[in-house]
Amino acid sequence: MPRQLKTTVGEYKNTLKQRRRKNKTRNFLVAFFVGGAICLGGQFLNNLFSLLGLEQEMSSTAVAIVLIFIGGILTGLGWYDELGQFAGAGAAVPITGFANAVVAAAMEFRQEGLVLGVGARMYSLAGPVLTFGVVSAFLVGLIKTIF
Amino acid sequence: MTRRGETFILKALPRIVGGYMVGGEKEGKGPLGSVFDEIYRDHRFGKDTWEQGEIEMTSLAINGVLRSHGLDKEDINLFMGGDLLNQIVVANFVARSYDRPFIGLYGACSTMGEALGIAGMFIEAAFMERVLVFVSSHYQTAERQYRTPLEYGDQYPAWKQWTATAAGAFIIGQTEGEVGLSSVTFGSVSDWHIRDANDLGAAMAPAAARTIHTHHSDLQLTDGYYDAIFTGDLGREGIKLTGELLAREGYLDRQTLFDCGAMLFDREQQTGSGGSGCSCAAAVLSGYILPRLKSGEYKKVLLVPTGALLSPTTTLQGETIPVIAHALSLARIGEN
Repeated sequence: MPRQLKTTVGEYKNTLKQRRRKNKTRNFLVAFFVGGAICLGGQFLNNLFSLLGLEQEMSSTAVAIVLIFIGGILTGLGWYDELGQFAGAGAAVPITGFANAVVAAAMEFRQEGLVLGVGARMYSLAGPVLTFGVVSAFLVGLIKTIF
Repeated sequence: MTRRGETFILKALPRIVGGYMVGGEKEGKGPLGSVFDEIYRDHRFGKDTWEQGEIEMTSLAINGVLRSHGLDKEDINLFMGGDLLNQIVVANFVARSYDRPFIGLYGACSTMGEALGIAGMFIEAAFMERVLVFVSSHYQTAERQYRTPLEYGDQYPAWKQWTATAAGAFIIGQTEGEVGLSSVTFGSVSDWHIRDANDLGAAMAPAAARTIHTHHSDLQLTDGYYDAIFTGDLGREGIKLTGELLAREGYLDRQTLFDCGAMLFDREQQTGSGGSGCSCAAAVLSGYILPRLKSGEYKKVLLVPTGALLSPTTTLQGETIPVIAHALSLARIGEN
């Protein structure tokens, strides 16, 4: 029979638990500042557009477009994943992260063709955002309408 | 051939006639860069897709090993190989070019062990004169299958490994060559309840420890019998764990325990805990172990390729990761 080890699964997992600690403080702080910086950048653009005469709603839309564009370009250049490795949620949560998810998937599945590759699978990472975003919006709207 | 427990002793000493390695740029720039016979910058190897690139890379390795030993495909009785992709497409599509009897194998990163072990037994039993075994792994094809799109900004922990882009082909024969396969221990699949697909080193470490322990116990070998023991791709973090597990069983000599994945890349290359993929073991065998056995620096070596038998689906379903390791003992002819 294959030999059993003296170390049990429980003992092994305990050893691992101590070795596999992520530096949560560092990750939290970096995510906060990087994510915050991206959002500050967005706020700056918002103020800039307002100054240029755009109304608030148009300005918000313009900010989203610019940030998505930046996220997409940085993904295409191969730089956004380095930011993600450094900042974690700080890169993933802002709208630039959403752009990264869609563009990264679109780039990835180009090999499998435009329709079933790019077209279908570009939402493989961002799909949940769309699904749960729409569902939440519906529920909130429903609650608002009823009450 | 005799069997002791789970270990098969190969008395006829099937020979490892030679190996040939083709690798990517990062692999070529690592500490084991010199083991590669050919290095390519382009991971598509001139083709349209990553997968076609891996197929091309593997074909180059096979053609290389045949050419460097003055052999044609007709001199080979059986081709045997595997890779990391679903349906082992690379191995199958590679085999298509050769029109020779073919057996495809899947052992994840332990495939090199499966292939060498089975080839050794076919040669030992004199069913065949020459078997060609090949394995490949490829960073882009593995990442897109097992993890997330390459440009996606998810954050990897320090213990994650980097799939090596490399292919190795070896010819196993009856009498040619100075290095022989003296015994094989096929491992069993075990599960240590690890779920993290980014921590395969930790998932596989116990499998390596178990197979090494089984091999030594079956043959009643003492600690230190082998000049060196090489695990497949546990990485720097994983090999530490195997060392500790073995120490508890009484194997205290950790100076001679190495990991092929950890050897393939150095820390400056930012590959986390080291390389992973079936070609790590192939690279070390071809360019590190074989020359040292031939020169006499090593007399007896144990190669223990390790595999994590998960799939992207099982990961999504929250399953744990079953693991396996196979042990091949290699010796210089005349040392037995």
